[in-house]
Amino acid sequence: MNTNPRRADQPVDPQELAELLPAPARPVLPQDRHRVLREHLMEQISHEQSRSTSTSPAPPARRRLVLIAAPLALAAVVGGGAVAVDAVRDDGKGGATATGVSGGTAAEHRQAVQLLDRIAVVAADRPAVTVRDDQFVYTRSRGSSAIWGGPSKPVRDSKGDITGTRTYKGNVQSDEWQPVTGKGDGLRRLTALTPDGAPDPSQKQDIAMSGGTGYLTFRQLQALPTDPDALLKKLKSGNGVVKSRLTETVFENVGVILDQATLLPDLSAALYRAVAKLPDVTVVKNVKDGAGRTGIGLTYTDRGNPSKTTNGYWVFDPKSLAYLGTDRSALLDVAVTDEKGEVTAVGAS
Amino acid sequence: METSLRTRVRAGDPGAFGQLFDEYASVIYRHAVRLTGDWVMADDIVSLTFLEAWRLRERLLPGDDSLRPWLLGIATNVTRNTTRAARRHRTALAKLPPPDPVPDFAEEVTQRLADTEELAAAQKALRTMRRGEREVFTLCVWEGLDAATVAETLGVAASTVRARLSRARKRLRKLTELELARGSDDKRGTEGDTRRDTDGDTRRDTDGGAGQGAVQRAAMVGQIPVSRRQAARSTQEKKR
Repeated sequence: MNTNPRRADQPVDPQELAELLPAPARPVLPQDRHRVLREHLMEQISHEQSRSTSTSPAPPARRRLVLIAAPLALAAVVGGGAVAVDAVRDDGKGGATATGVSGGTAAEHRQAVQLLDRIAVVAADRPAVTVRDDQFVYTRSRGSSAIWGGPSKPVRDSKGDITGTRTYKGNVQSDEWQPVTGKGDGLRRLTALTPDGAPDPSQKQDIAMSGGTGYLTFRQLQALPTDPDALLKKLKSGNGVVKSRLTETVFENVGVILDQATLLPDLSAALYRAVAKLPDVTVVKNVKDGAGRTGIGLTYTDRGNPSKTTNGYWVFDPKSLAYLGTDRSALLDVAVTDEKGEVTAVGAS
Repeated sequence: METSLRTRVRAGDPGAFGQLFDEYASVIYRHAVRLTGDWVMADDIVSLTFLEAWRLRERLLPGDDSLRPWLLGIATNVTRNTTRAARRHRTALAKLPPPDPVPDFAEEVTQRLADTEELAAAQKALRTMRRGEREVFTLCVWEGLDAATVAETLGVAASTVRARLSRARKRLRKLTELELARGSDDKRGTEGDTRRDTDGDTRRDTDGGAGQGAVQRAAMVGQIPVSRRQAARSTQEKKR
């Protein structure tokens, strides 16, 4: 030891290391690229700010979808919950008034439970589908570009150099194909919508959606328990589900998978029955989905802590009780396709 | 000025992020290129690093310290798991126009060829290290952060940083010895042949150009045909 000038945990001279392996190259971020990347960052920041500041002045509390993480844009879709009550009125239980987020009473919660039960019955009645590993789950949605992203185009200066991107802001249609097994890329096609709701093919962009473990694949959804208690337990036990926001997180995580779960009647029904077991889920009536369709809303309200209250809701068709989407995004179609980019006529929802 | 920038970053002031980007984008880019040897990936890493910085801004500790170690730490984590970071920000990334794979000017092309060669050579040496050693090495040696800062940045003990540096040094010394041994026995390479040809070509391409130093360095480490396994074993055998 004495003859060894250095022990392993003693400081090593960086200079000596630098001589052994000098820093290679002199990579310089080109100026035009610096500009493009900077503008992109600033756009993302302002984008996210506009999305969050409308709801609260506090820094955006990013929803952490841990058990069931979702594509980023989807995560933003999931609001809290209020259930609207048109159907309740249709049901002869009229006289219910919109409670908004003022917090629910026991009666209000009972109302939500009853509605969820009816929704579950309807959901369970839908036809089951058979899906092959090589297929895709197709969803068509409409909503704000703040949710789905907008198609963007490069902006060029007079010399033809790309100086940045211009992203469409407004209502968009998202056509998305997700691989059933999660292997391989999915595809999201964003198309701008004109004020009267027609797709504008001149403003369109295809985005490859890389697969991964961040969200549940269709096969993983199929593997979820269809017993409401077991499902709820699973939803509550995901890694990193924040205890202090447990109910809210579960509600949101369920929201993320409702779209694809439409194709799985047993799972859909179990999801609704599991949500019925959550406290503070209430009904709000006469809400609109992201495409302007009126329906019944379900929301989550934490009476003890209004700041934890999410301000969105799920929307259901007042007559059929089919899931329509959220207040910020409407689900127009769910189907199984053989190819990415292929739109089938087989509709759901 | 730094104080207020850090405070503004923590507060989520968009202007502060603009300033942050202007000050450090080139630092992050350089670190990413050197760490990965991949220009295109480095471009993504720059974007992801600042998107992550925005996401993680509230976890930034208050104080007066420079934000450079914080950003380098994020960049290192992003590099370690680019796919996860990319997934988190994939909607954002999807809107980013890809960089031009080839620079516009001939001069830049030449420079980039030389740089790429040099980077590839350094990659060979870096790949003999374990990931943690590589991260510590690049941050301490190439970016000049001190061990304590790197420890904090990576969330490990300072003694761990020193131990990793020490192991990195052993590996690099071993490489150099192998290189010397090989230099005296030049024609006998087997798996080294392909690399030697590549090096030869590049040497001609960049002859007399700005890449002079690069070429020499490439020659120094670029021809060492060591597999990771070999290097690891040798290091252990050498343990005193």
